[in-house]
Amino acid sequence: MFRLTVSGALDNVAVDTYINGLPAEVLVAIFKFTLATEARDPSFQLVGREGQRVETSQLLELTHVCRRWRIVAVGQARLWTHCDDRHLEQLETFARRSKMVPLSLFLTHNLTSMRGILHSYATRPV
Amino acid sequence: MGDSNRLTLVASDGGKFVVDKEVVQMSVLLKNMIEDLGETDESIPIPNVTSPVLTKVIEFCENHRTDAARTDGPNVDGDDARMRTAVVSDWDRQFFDVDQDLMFEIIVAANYLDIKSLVDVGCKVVADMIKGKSPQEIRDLFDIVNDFSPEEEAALRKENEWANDR
Repeated sequence: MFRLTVSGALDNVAVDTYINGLPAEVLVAIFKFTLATEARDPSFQLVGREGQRVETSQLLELTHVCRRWRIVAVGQARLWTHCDDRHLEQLETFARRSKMVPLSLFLTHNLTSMRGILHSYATRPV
Repeated sequence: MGDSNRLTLVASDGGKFVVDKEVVQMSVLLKNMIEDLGETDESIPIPNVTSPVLTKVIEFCENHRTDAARTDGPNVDGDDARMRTAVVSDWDRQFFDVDQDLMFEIIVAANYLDIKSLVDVGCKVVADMIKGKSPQEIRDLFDIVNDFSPEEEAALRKENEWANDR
């Protein structure tokens, strides 16, 4: 059985099973294939329009499996670039985790309620 | 001089495999190595891959040897177009119908040898196993330990509220 030596943020994360012996970049590829749907292909260019709800449950559930999966997924800014405004905390989380990658928002409310969030993360294309 | 179209790979456990160069060159790592070595009868050691895993890797490469441009393009996380077009055939699914330990060792070996098509197919097969499953079902499937702290669990519960509001 292989074991992977991980470093940095993953130092204290147990590599407890075969799948967690995979290099982080391979785990990311698995996540991307998992999240690929008709509306959201592996390039994460969401095909949608204003007011559309963004399916985020599978992505969030991937981060709830174990600490390693969470660290790896949260560290991948491109996974967090599409969000709607159903929950402002979720929107703030996606804005933070997408770092400097352009963010696509699918809005149903007016912009007033999310002014603070947008101001905090408006140093990149939105 | 031996057959210039074939070379010998040596697995980490000493197992030797005589393989067509055309097949071996699906690995970017080995392709570059062959170009650096030039014409030689020397065996190429593969120190990180055991014989059972190398057997499967070679089987995949021989089956896909006629596929076009398999070694082109950037690495696994940088080529969305390649990921989009990755196809998992019935043969590929049969190929990966093995124990989880062997399945993941094949993917690790493919990543090490830089065989993009095999990495993609492996990742897609694993992704299909994950799709639609809850975190607990995924843990059960891959024998993963839930190692979140109570504080982290509280954060996850908050996120569950977003996820469940569909």
